Order: sequence, then structure tokens, then C-alpha cells
Amino acid sequence: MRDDLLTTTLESTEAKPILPVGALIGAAFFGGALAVTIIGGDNARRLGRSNKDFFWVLLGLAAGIATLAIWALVLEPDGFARSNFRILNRGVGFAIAGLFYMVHRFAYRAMQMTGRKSPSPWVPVICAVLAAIVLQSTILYFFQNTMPSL
Amino acid sequence: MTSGGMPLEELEAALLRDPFNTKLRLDYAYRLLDAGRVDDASSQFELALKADADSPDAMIGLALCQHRSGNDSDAISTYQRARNLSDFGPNAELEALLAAAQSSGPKLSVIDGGGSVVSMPVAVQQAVEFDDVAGMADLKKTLRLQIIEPFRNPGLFQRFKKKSGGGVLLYGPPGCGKTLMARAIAGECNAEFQTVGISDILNMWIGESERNLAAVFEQARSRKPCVLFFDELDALAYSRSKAASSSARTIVNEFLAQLDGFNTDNEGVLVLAATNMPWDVDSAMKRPGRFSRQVFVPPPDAAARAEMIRMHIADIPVDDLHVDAVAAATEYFSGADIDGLIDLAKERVLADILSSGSERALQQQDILDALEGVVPSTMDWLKTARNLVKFSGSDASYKSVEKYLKGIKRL
Amino acid sequence: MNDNSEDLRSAVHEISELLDRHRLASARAALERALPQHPDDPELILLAGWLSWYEDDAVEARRIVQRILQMQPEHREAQYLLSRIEFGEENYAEAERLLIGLLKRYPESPSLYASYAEVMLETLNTEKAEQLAVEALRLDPQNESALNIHTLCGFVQSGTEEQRERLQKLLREYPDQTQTTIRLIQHLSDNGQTKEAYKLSKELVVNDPSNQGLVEFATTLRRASHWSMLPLWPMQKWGWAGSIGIWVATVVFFRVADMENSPLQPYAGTVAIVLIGYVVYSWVWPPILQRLIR
Repeated sequence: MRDDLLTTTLESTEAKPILPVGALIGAAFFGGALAVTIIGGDNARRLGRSNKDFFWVLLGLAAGIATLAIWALVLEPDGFARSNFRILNRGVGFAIAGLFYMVHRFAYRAMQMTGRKSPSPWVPVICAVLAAIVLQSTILYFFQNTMPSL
Repeated sequence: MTSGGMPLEELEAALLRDPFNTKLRLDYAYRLLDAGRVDDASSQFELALKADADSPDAMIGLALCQHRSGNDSDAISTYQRARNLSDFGPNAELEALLAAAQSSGPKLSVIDGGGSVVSMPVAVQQAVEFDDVAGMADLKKTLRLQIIEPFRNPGLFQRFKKKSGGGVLLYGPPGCGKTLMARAIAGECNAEFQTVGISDILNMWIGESERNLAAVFEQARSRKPCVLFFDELDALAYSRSKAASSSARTIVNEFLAQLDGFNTDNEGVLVLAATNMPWDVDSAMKRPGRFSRQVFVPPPDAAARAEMIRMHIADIPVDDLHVDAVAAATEYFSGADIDGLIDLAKERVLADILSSGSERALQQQDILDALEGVVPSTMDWLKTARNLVKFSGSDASYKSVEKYLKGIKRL
Repeated sequence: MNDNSEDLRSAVHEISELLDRHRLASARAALERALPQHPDDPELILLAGWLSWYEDDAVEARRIVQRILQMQPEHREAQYLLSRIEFGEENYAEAERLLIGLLKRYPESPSLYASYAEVMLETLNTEKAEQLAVEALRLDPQNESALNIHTLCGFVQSGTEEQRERLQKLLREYPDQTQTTIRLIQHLSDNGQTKEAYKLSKELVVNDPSNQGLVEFATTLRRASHWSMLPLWPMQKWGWAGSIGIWVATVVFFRVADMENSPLQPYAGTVAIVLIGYVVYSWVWPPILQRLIR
């Protein structure tokens, strides 16, 4: 008998189904790097592994802020059009979405195999996009008004 | 309120005043029964059961009505239900009927290898012919060509190199007369009809179920000409790929062995089976020489439904009722559904009579009103069959279902 | 053995066999005949519990199980049924607690390990599910449910050679079981062999046309293998990554077309119209097709 297997796993941290991959992509497309990080963080929370995935969330946030900094301090002063920011933010967002997909791939596969349904992504994605827009504006304002352009 | 020795008329008047008094109704029903008005009594007992489904007195009364109108099998089943209720008190007449049923019926003794005796109860039933089955002219024509004539004139079919051996599987929605049709086939073939259900075969001892099955086949061989009919074949020959228990698999293996062995000595014996779920029957059972001929028994057609309705209303007061119109309105209804519908309509009339105090006949509108709350029980089966046809591709087994579904624009 | 206990054993056998064959109405009729004769027999009552469970009446099944557990708190089968009820009702922690309790008393039961692995897999604890499935197979290398769960774990964690090996073992041991076919379809589908997967799924539906889950499964595969889905091949093959690829290609195309003296400039309008049409098609057509097929 393997005693180590007969210890409870679910009492403290019962994993809930995570948001579908489409939620990551939707957040990346409409909200960019910060929005997709919020969705990835929410998925980590649903899986009961916030601590384990803390590094990845931090990495996502750092990538999002770095994107804003590069835009505000380097590209915008060089005369790049605003539409380029959206493309850049989206591109970084997709990269972070891929990262979170790989980190949580086991859960996506398990749900696919067992037929367990994901919750509806609409409300979390809209909230994440709105939160990201507010965050982005604040961070951009900070960079544009308090930091000298490079 | 106690009815004591009240005359029937006074009881009726009392019931009109207090129609929900079950005790009074039961008293009235028993008095009707004593007076020989069995049908009227039966309706009253059914109304009493509607008010109190667990009334043993009402159930016993209904069983007595069924017994006295010659429907002993229903009487036994109703009485057995009554026996399971609290406050049940035995009824001498029905106890005697039950005892007689349990001890009656021919028994076949099969000597096994060790010399012990296996006793097989056999259900032998009275003859029915196609004329006794309402409507379904197309199906009867198919059955005559595919089953009855090859059985009666094997030589003719052999001369035309037309294969006629093997069993026949009747399948279709529940309650649409597969069993009755099987009995009619036996009648048309002038053969004895021997029916086998899963309870006749299943036995808790290892190997005993297979021996029961072998005994059934052996018995059929000894009774030529004979129609051996397996009801609910899906339960008996349940698909081995779906069964969890090993016993389900061994029964199928024995069944296959019997059918194959049987094939060499099948003259004078026709193996028929019926199922509501042909997809649950082991696929090996449907191979040539076994149940390779599969006949779809659809829900009754308009002519059959009209005939059933006529039979139901034959002895009751009816006014302004166009049977064909009612038949047209009951598309996809099974025989059992039509029974239920007419019963519901009768109940409505009775309730109306009891509340208004004036007697009237059953009218077409009563049936149409009753129809509103009834969904034909065949619909679920037809939906499932639709999946079957859509995904079975070139499989010819379900072509007749496909044709039927296309005909009713459900595909 | 007296007649009464033989009657009881006979009834239990018949009802178990009927339940095994999913003849629920016949099983209910047999139970209605047998229970009044033996109202306190736990085995018979347990069968009533399983019947209610199969009939999707979890409330009644739970009531029945609790009645047995009042009579015999340690009743193994009743506790197992209760764990299935908890699992079905998504009370996973309770299902786990019951299964651990059972495994401590019956540590040599591969089926219990497989059931526990199923709970772990459902709750996305895939590593533990894998370990439990391995333990179940150590106890009985041929156990069907353990093999099935083990294959599923392989699908979740690797998706490569290991997945194939496990599936092959399942196919060797239980080639004609429905669950094996489902695993095979998942494997084919994973590998982009949609047509083959659809072919197999058709067989599943023909074997069990009343199973709506299987019908949906086959319908989705039929849709995926339909000729009209060919233009959406990148998305079918690579999923969201395919969509992102198309987006990147679009951005690059229009950036280049936007450049001065770009040779792509004359085509930009046509490409834009085609692209809008393609996006609309990818959104609108698949659900319409699914509906048409259904």
C-alpha cells in the first residue's frame, strides 16, 4: 500500500475548471499583455496554485510594463503612430498567452479528456480588459509625465 | 359518512355531493361489482386509485374487475401490487387465482449430464392471426413474404435460390405490437408459439443460465412446428462489448452456439425475437444464419390506430365521434399510448358527469382535449433512431427505419 | 439453504444482471417484486440505490445508501456507491474522503485506486491521478478501468510516445470496449486524423445512439471533417495558434502594402475584402454547419 497516496488532496485546495484558451487569446487581442496576465493569474487561482505560478504572473506583469515603457519612452517619442502600440501590445499579449497555455496545459488537456466544461469567459475577459486599460493608462501617464524620454 | 345498506341510487347521490370521498366511492364500486356491473365498477376503482394510489382496497377491487372480465394476467399483476401495500388484507378469490397461476403451465424436464432434472416453465399462448392485428397492411405483407411463406413453402423459395433460413428480429419503438405481431406470425404459420423472457433464462448458478437456454432450444425442436420467440432480445443477447459481467458474455456465446447448431436442424422451427433497442443486441447475433433478417415494426399506421380506437369505444356510450379524425390526430401514438389516451378521455367524462350531475357520452372533443397533455412515447425512440440512421451510413440494417423517418419527414 | 434465502439470492442475481445490461425498467420491476419479500436486505436495497443512480435520481440513491449505512456503517459497496454519488454531484472532497477510507480498509483493490485516480483527474490533480493509476495497475495489470485512466493520464501529460504505448496496451487488452474506442478517437483527433476519428465515432453512435454525448462528439468530428471546413484548415490544425498566425500574416501584409511604392499596394483592397469574408466565414459557418449536421 502506498500510504503517501492516501492523504487528502482536495480539502484545502480543490481545483476548479479554468477559463478556456479563447479567454487568454481574447484578453491578449483586446487588452494586451496586462489583460492576459490577469486571466492567467485567475486560472492559477482557480487551480489552487497561485503560489506555484506567482513567478509566471510576475513575468507577465513585467513584460506588460516593459512594453508600455518601451512605447512611452522610446517608440512614441520617435514618432511611431498610435496603431503600432496596439500591435506591439497584442503581440506581447499573444506571447504571454502562449506562456500561460504551456504552464496550464495539463489542466486544459485533462479538461478536454474528461469532458469537464470551462466556465463562460465573457465576464472575466471583459473585466480583465477594462482593468488592463485603466492600468495601462495610469502606467503610460506615469511614464510620459514623470520620466524623461530616452 | 358511512354508506351502510344504502341503495345504489342513494350512494350515487351521496357521491355527487361528496365526490372526493374515497371510502364512499369504494363502497359504491364494490356494490357495482356485486351487481355484476364490472366495467362500471372498474371505472370507479380507477377513480378511487387516482385519489389514493396506495389504497389496497381499490387495487383489489380493480384486480377483481380484471379477473371477472377475463383478464387474468392483469388481475394477477394488480393483485400482486396490492399485496405490497400496507393494510393489505387477502382476498380469497384472487389468492386462489394466484395459486392456480403459480402451479399451472406445462413444464419441460431436461436431463443434464449429471442426471439431475432441470425444470423449465414454458409460456404457451393461444393463437392469434394477422386478422386479429389492426391495420399495418404493409408490414403484414413484408412479414408474409419474408417469414411466413418461406416457412410454409421452403421448397418454392429454394427453387428461386432465395435464402430463407435463420432467425428474424422484429425491432421498433416500445408498445407498438412487436409481441402481438410475433404471435400472429406463429398463428399464420400454424405453429405453436413459445415465448422466452430473460427471467426464464437467468440463473444465479454458474452455467445454469446456459443450460436453461439450451433447454429452451431443445424444447422448441421437440415441438415442431414451433415459433420460438425471444422477447427483449437486447437483455438476453446484450452486446458483449458493453457488458461488464462475464455471465452476460457467456450467455451470448451459448446463444450463438445454439443458433449455429440450430441452423442444421431448423426445419419446422422459426426463431423470432423482438427488441426496442437493436443497437444493444450483440452484433454477432445479426450475422447470416442467426438474426440476419431484421424487420422494423413502426408505430401503428392510421388504419391501425382507427381500429384500436374503435375497439376501445365499442362498449361505451359515444356521441359525435369521428374515429378517423381522432386517428389522424394521434400520429406516432403506440398502442399503449392510445390505451392511455382513451382512458384519460373517459376519466374526463366521468369527472364531468360527477361534477355536473348529468350523464353524457364520450365525445370527440374529450379525446382531443385529453390529447393536449399527451406526448407519444415513441418520440424518444424515433429521435434515437434518427441518430442511428444518420450515422449508420451504408449499413443496410436500418434502411427501413430510414425510409420510415423520411416518410414522416423526421430525417 | 432455505427457500427464502435462495429466492433472495436469485432475485439479487437477476437484478444485478439486468442492471449490468442497463435494463432499468426490468430491473425496477424485479426489485418491486423482491423488496416487499426482503425489505431489510442490504444487498437488495443497495441494488435499488444503484438503480436510482443509473436513473439519474441522485437524491433517492443517496437516501437509499444512507439507509444501508445506518444499518451497516462499514458496508463497502454502499460506501463505494456513496463515493460515486458524491463524485457525480461534484462533491469531490467528500468522494476523496470516502475513497481514502475504503482504500485504507481494502488496500489491494485496483478498482478503488482507479476510482480515486478518476477523482484526481477530474479535479485536475493529474500527477496524483497518474500515480494512483500506476498503483492500480501494479495490483492488476489487466484492470480495465485502471488501464483506461492510465491511458487518459498519458494523454494529459505527454501526448507523444508514452500516450501511444498506453493506448496500444488498452487496445490489446480491451479492443472492443467503448471507452477504448473513445480513447482511440481522441488520439486520432489529436493527430489531426479527423476523418478516421469521425469514422470510428460513427461506429460508437450506431452502437449507442441514445447517448447524446457520443452524438455530439461524432457531430463535432463530422463537422471538422466536412469539405466546407477546408478553408479553415490552419485553425483546425493549430487551433488558436493558427488564428494568431493569420493575424500576424495580415499585419505584415498591410504594413508592407502601406509602404511607399510597395508592389502589394494594388491588392490591398481585395485582400482586405477577402480577409473580412474569411473572418466572418470562420465565425458564422462552423456553428451553422454543426446545426445542419445535427
